[in-house]
Amino acid sequence: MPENLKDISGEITVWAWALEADFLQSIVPEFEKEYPNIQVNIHKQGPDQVYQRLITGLAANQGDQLPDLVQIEETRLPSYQEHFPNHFTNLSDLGYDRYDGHFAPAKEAAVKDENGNFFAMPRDLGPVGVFYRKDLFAKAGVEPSSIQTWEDYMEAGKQVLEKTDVKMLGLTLNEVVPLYKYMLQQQGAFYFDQEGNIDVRSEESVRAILTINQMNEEGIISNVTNWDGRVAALKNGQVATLPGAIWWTGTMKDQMPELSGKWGAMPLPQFKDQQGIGANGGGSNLVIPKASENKAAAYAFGEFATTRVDLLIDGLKNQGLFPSLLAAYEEPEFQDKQEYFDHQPVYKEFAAIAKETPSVHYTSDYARANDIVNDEIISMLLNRKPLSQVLKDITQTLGPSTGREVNES
Amino acid sequence: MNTPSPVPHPENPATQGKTKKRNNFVSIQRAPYFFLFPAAVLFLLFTAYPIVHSFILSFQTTTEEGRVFVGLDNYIRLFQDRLFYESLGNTLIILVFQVPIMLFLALILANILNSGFIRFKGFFRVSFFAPAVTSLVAASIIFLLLLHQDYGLVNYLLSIAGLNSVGWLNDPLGAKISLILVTTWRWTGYNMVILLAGLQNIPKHLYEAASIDGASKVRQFFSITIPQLKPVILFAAVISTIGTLQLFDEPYTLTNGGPIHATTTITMYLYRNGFEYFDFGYGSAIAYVVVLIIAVLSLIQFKWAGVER
Amino acid sequence: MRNSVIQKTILYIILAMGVILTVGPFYWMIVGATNPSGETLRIPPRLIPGSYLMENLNHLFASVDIWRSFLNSAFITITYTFLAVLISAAAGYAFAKYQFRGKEILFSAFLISMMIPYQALVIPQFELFSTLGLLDSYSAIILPQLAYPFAIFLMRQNMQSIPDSLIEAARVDGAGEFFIFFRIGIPTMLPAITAVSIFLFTHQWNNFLWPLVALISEEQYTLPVALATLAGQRSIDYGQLMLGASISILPIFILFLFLQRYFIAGIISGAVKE
Repeated sequence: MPENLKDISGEITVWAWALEADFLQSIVPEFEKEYPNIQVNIHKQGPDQVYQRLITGLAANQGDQLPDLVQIEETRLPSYQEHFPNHFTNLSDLGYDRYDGHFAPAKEAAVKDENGNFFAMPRDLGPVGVFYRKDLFAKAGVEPSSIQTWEDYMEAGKQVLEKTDVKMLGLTLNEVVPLYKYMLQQQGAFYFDQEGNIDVRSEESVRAILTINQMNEEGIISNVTNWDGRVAALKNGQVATLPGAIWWTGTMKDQMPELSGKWGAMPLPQFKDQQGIGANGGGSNLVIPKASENKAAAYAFGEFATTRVDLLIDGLKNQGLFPSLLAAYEEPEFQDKQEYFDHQPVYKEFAAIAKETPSVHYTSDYARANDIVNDEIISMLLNRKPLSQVLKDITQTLGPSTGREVNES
Repeated sequence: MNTPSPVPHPENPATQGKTKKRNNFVSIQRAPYFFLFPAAVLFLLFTAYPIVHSFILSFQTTTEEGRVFVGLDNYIRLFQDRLFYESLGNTLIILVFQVPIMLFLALILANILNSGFIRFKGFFRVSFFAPAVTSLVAASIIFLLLLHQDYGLVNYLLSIAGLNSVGWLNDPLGAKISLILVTTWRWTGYNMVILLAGLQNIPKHLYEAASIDGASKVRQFFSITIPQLKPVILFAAVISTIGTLQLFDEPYTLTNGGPIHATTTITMYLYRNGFEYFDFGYGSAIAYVVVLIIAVLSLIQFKWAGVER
Repeated sequence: MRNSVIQKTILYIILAMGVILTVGPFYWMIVGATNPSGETLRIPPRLIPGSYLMENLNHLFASVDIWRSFLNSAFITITYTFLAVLISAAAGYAFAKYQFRGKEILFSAFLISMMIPYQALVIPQFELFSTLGLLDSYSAIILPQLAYPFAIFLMRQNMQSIPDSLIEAARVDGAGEFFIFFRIGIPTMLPAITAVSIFLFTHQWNNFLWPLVALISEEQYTLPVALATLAGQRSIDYGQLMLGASISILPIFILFLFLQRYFIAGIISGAVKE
């Protein structure tokens, strides 16, 4: 890296979507002040567009069609890294290793390769907790602090249903059940173990599946179709809780301002006799394709966007993007008592969750595993497919298609 | 209606031989090549080349060293892939229900619009055809909202009628039915227009003779309309079969293949393998199995209709 | 007599139901375009247009350059349709009216290519256009399907009905082959050409997957690509999207209203001549 910032020059193109694109756009003026000879073009697109172009450009081996910097979620990072190993810039070589240990541990693990080199610069995170309707809980006589385990949660759910005729939670049974993933992660487990073997038969996994299934049998789950169904169910008071990531707070404030003060938040309940509350849902990162002709400028902008505390705080305030840089959690804005959550310091509490979240090995087969696992779990919930059959079908489909070993229970 | 009448065999070399010799650079022998030149060049470059390329891809897999040949591995793997069979099954189920239902509806509408006394034919034609010229991005949003289990108009109307709400997109069977309905909505008018055209070509005197013999309208329909319309029905059936076997946009935008891959069609599975699982070789192999199936089904349809080619 | 009145009534009821089913969703789209986003998810559903059109329009303008995309779509689609019709008419004419070597093979190749799922061709096509340096341009969208097999097929079917005697007579008069094509082939085939034009126009206007990948700059976006950027990951503004969708459908509707007569006539001759 050149010593003098003015020495880095050039024009860079950045692909990003939605709020992340807005955030990156918002920091451009400041960036160009510090790096007067770099011109940044933010190209805001739909998420499908970003991924489809990226994969097409890589698969067709047309590196020059790629941008200098691009947004990728951590769930997809290993797929890109392993399928196209020589197509992304090793950022540690460019000096990013100086930020070793600066980010939430699970995030940092997700953006490094097996040799510990940074391949992506970490942006936002989605620490998961349970949002709940204080008024409905009060009406049902449920004391939030009494919910420590998933068993407590289920009991509370039954009570809420009985007293208020409201279901405890909404799941999108025609799409995905992220709750299973959260339950795995909080126990330090995942679809795959650290060696990349298929691990859905683990004790943790079975525990999680059975818990969700039991909730379904108790009738406390509402099937809410899709994204809009989830939002509408929250807005219309059809569900009492939402196990979800921090970015839901943005949607809640935007779409249902009338519910201000009625919401509370708590960490995920634990499993009985088990530790662990940390899980993550969503979050993205910035990578530099190797074909970029302006790596120095792209690096400078990526570093600027991921490590400047003041800008990250702005991003949290304006776009609701929860940073992964630990230093940001010490800022006063994180201690704010939020009116919408009845003066609860939600950011601070979720920052604590972010720090505790165990890392998971997504692997290059995450997308395939996610599709298959969700389909099977939904089969169980909708069609009462027995657990043994569910596990058998997952492993027998996933094993051959990924060529991965299957761990026996 | 400006409908050309049938002509004698159009490709008779004998008639071409009679032509006077001319000194034109573009002779009769050369002319077809000139006429075909643009289409052939564009086709070779932009269609044939990618096809050959993707066919080669179907024998390859991507490794850390780039693409390597793996022989028939992708095809062999395909035959052991449960999800492949399921998506093939979904596609065939949709085909078996959707194409006949659609052609049946199209035939009814075409017959009604072919009756002499119906007025406002132009209006009805445009209305029925409209869905076919609608961008699916738009149509799918409408149907997502119409069929929403909790907020959709369809379930609201059912509830007014005192019926239970249906999981149009939430339930595996419901989603399949929805997909069949939406595809039918989109393409019935298109097929109706094709069939209507065929109906108008049936000589009127056949019906007049039948009426004199005292044949009922229903009898006339089965003894005159259907046999006369056979080639047109075949044309519509082949086009619809190709369309349904390649069904992608509707499930992609409406149900995303779910729930429990109940609406994952074969082309959707192809797309997933390529663009989501980065397994382009495998995706290409699926594509060529689709080609094989379409070719076989088209042949069967031609055989069934007894058309010689 | 009574019987036929009842019969007519039943037929009209069937037609009316058909119209409600096919056109109803469009009406609802317009209702959605004139109401605030949240209203769309209300129970009971709103069935009358609201007064939120201008707000939705402003939101739409703030998110995408819809007019620019409209112009892009219009330019691409019109250029494409004009060229593709000409190319497929010429090819169809050759297949219908000449004997030449390689005819069967070429025609079969065209037909078989119709059976290949397009999704499998995106990657090789991208590679090709990248090598040609044509990505992110109008040509990237216009070129790939200029030789559209289905259009060539329809044209061939139609061209077969041009009386050979007409062509022969022209040849006897000393007319060249091109002259005959342009003066006899094309004019007698106007209904078919209109039909194929509408077919190609619709096809290109709705073209989605390839432009999504091939067009990179916002200034080049076609309408379907621009609409796709409206749908974010974690929320959809329905009012805005419905309005954008209405705008993208309108030209197709108008075109079809004007040209539907020819369209149907053209399909007739194409379909019947198997």
